[in-house]
Amino acid sequence: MARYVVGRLIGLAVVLLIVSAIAFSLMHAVPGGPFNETNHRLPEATREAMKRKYGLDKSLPEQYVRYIWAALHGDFGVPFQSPTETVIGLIGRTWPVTVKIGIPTILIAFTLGTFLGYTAAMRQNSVIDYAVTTLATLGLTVPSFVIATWLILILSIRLHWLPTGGWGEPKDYIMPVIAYSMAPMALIARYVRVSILEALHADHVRTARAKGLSERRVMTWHVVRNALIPAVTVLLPTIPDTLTGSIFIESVFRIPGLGRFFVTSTTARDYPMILALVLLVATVWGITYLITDILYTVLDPRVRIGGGSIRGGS
Amino acid sequence: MAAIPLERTHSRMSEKTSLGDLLRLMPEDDPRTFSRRKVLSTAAAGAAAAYFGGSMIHGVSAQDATPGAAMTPPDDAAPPEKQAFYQATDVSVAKAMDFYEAVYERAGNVADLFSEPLIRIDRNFQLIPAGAESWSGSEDGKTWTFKIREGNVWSDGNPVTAADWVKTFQYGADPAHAWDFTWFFQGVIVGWNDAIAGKIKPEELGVSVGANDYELVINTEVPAPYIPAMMLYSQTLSKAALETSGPLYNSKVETSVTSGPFKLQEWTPDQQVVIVTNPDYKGTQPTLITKLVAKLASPDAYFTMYQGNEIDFYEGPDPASLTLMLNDDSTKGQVYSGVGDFPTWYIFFDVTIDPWKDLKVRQAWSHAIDRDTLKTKVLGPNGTPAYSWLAPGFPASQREALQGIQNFDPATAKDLLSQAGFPDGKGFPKQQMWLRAPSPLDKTVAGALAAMIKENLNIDVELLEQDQKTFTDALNAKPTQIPLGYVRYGMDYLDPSNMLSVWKSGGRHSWSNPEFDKELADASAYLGDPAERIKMFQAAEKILVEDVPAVFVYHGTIAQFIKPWVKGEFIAPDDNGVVALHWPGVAGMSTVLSEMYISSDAPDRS
Amino acid sequence: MATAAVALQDAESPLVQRRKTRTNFQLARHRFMQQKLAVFGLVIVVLFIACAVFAPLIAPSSYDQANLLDANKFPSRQFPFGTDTIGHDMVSRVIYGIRTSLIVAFSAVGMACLIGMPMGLAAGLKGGWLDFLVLRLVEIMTALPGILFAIFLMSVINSGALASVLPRNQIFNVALVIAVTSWVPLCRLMRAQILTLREQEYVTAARSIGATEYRVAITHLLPNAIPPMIIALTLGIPAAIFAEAGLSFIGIGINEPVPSLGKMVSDSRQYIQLYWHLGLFPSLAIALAVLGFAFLGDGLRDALDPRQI
Repeated sequence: MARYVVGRLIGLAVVLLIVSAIAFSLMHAVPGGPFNETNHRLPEATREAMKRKYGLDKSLPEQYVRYIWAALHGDFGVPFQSPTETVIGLIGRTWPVTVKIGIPTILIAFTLGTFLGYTAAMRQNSVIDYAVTTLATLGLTVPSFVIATWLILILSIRLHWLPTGGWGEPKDYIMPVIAYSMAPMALIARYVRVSILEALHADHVRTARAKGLSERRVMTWHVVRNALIPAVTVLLPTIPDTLTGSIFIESVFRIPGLGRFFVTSTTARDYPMILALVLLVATVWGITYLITDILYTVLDPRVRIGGGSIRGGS
Repeated sequence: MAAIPLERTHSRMSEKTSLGDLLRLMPEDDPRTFSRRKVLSTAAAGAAAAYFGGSMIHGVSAQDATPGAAMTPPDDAAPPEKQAFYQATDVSVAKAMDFYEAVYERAGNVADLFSEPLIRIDRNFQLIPAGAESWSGSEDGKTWTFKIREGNVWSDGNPVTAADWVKTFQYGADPAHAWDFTWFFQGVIVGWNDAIAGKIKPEELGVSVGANDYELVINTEVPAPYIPAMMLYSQTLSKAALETSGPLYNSKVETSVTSGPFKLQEWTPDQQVVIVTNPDYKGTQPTLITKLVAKLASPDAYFTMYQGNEIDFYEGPDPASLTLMLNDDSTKGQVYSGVGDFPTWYIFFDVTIDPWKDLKVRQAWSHAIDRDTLKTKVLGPNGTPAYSWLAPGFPASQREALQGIQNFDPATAKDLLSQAGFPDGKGFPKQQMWLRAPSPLDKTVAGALAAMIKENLNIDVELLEQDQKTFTDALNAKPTQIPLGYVRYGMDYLDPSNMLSVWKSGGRHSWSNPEFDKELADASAYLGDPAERIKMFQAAEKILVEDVPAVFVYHGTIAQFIKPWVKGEFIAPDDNGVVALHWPGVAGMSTVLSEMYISSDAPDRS
Repeated sequence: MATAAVALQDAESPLVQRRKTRTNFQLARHRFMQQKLAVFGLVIVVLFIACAVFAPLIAPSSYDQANLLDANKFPSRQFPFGTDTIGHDMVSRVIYGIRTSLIVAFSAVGMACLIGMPMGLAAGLKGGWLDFLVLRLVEIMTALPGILFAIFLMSVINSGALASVLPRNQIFNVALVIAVTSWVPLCRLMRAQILTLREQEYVTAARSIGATEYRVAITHLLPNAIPPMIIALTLGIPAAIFAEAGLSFIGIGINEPVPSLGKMVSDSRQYIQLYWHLGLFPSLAIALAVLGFAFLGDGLRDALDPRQI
């Protein structure tokens, strides 16, 4: 197991390198640079000066190598969008905010979602099942920024219960978390329901029941555990998704998180920030997948780590 | 004495000032473009110098007489601790606090209040003394001396002297700084071109301290009577702070140094910037406002913030917000509209390629736009139909005379299109119209334009929304990469030569008309009867409108929302009867702050 | 007893309930029809597809026809869904919007399938170095933040740099960008299914009687891997619609004047206090479409699952 984990981590490092190279090439493929030329073309001399200032006057491969070298030493540069701080500083300031929204969202989505899915599965084809299924699907049918806008309209502008946005107080969490958790909750409810239904009718469950095991043991040991495998595949990725922020939610509610930088960094051609974001997301996802795959072995003893062809194995 | 065009007395500079553009003297310039030398002959320059030198000290107001004197609040003013004005600023551009650090990326609405420029402008765009109490030019117009007002101090104890300005200009020219406004002084200040290219050191720039600590001397390459006007943009940095803490010293409270009416209290990135009264202020802009707050947000949140009373001022609202405000009797009175910087929105063509090479095609397009309906249904108070280039109220504007050339006439449009070889739009290649980071209003207008073209000419137009940098890159490329686009231009300088120079050969667009160039050059350089000069500009504009390198759509009169508890002289009608919070708004460059107060019925927003 | 056996098989005997043997498909269809929600979903999906296909016939006007004088009208007899800010008839816009959104969604999901499923299948079956490669590719693709990647791609495409390779068809380009950023979950799901299924008893059984790898894959693994894939695909359609709405929110989606449901919803956001009809009808259309595809997917899965009697 340990060898496997180490192998995966090395693989992750390689992935990071490749990903950064791809991002680097792509961002330089987009025309324009970080200088501002709103109405007037800058004098050539100033353009050159700006390029020198941002380190853009060197050839692309050289820029890339310099960046990687600096990154290995922990220096990720200064974001063009916020020259008074470093990239690390900016991320250190904004990512925790995103995570603070993300964690309650995940908790609510998983607990409520699982509960709803379980309820629906146990009462299959009843009114409750239909209701939950429809509601859950509806939660997925409206884009999060639409939910957000309606929430603001009702709770803030009409009823004045909550502020229109901003950050700093506990009540600033309420609307963003509600709006953000609708979709993951619906997704989780649906998948849990389906997985449990499948597992409920599986042969090994009927065998277990036939053997005379108590319903409770059947449920926890056989049904739930096996239901979790496809669920895990689909649902665990919602965690890094949520943790890296939603540009829509953060924009509509004016939350000073990391989400908006995904868009603004590209329009501003903020190369250091783009690369840093890419590396951050890559790391988060890589670790999530590693955890997912490890969880497979725990949940399904039939799954062997490391592959092997159909003919191989025991 | 040769008469100087009256426009020189109203010098209005905007953030996009292209005085450098107007009077460019770059070696790379196309020799056909007119240069500074054609604008001012030496004799005229001398006369100009005399004119400007002698009459520079405009009326002294009560404030000027006793700098730093306290103002008496009106009866309905709120107590001092509640005199706070809240505005919203685009969070993505709030990087710096000072003009000389980054013009296009500063925290607008609260930037540049930590010092004073040499001059400022009032509600009628007249120049009045600020950091400089008087100024004069030499006989040949190439040496300008500004007498710095004594008595103003920095918060670190140092007095405000000419050395601060010298250091600031040097910083602006320093290539290591890569200031985004360097084009402004190109060819104006001695040594500027060489300094920004690194050929000479910034210290060798033609800006120096004069006979004493309070005398600033600016040497210019050519006679430059417009230098005082350009000094609207001279918000000085502190020499001491620059040397100690570096140019971003105003971004942190610990290192911030101010000589302006405010000092930095808080800068929370992505949240807000708060500046409060500077108790040691001894300058020329006393104000009753004790706190200015810039809430950092993305522009589509501004309206909800305004509705929630989180901000007191909102300029350039989207059409939905505007309609909401106008439909409601309780909020109708909060809607104002000013002239801004006399912008004109227009569709432009790359006239060097098909199908735009054909004049008939362009004319067909110009007759296919129903601007009146656009005004009633989409623009509302945001603009008026444009049939020509110069907006009403701008010198030399002649809308009535020209409005028949690009008028709405669908029958003629169809006919012209047929004559051009595309009967009923058949065979006309599908078009993509480039938009530059369009606002909701821009998108609606562009959508309406596309629909009109489809209806009247049966041509398909797809709207391509581009971000600022991609658009500018493509537009400025030579040859230009944009075949069809929709964009605006607002003046930098209150003179027809400024607006019209957008269309000269080798300028912003690919249109090149030697007759227009000549008319424009002659008119700009003309020093005779001002009325005659106006006529010459009008002749040039007529050529422009007739040749249709662009279809003019509307002149902008940007709407503003101002909360009713923001009161004062600033909102009184100006000489043209316009009622609005005039450009440049709340800034050291304007007199708005001294004419504003918050009344006691303002909500509590601590 | 023979006569009794013959009697039992006598088709005419009223004592014997004739039990027709049915094909698998008929059994599946029977199960499907028994679920009300599934049938409801099917009806909706068929309606929407019909709407998309016959749009030019059923829409009152073309999507780019607009009369400014009719702008901003609320729902009325003349304009059942009202008009938008430029004067387009919302009924036409919604109908054509359904068409665009469905085309984009189907294309995107189709392309994503073509990319993701074979890779997941191969990785799960072969394992070893192929699995390793595919997993690394998956990691790389997921590591690139979807939004960033989409913006990059769209910016490069919009600036015309790839004009020689890609058609100037915005719908295709948007679908391609969505597909390229969303094939990974399909691949991973397929792989996970294969990984689990290939250890099942009936696979071992098949192997033990000498079935080739290929036969095992096609006959046993693939059919059993399908049901979760179907759910993923049917949820992929609304996900693609949302992805397109998200791209429109940022400003790089389908270009006007071509309507898409996502863009209409995104643009209507600012008018929500005033012209509620601008967002209501496209949102309803999206909601119905999603409901339809979701219920359909659920029904199909339940119907095709051979273990459910």
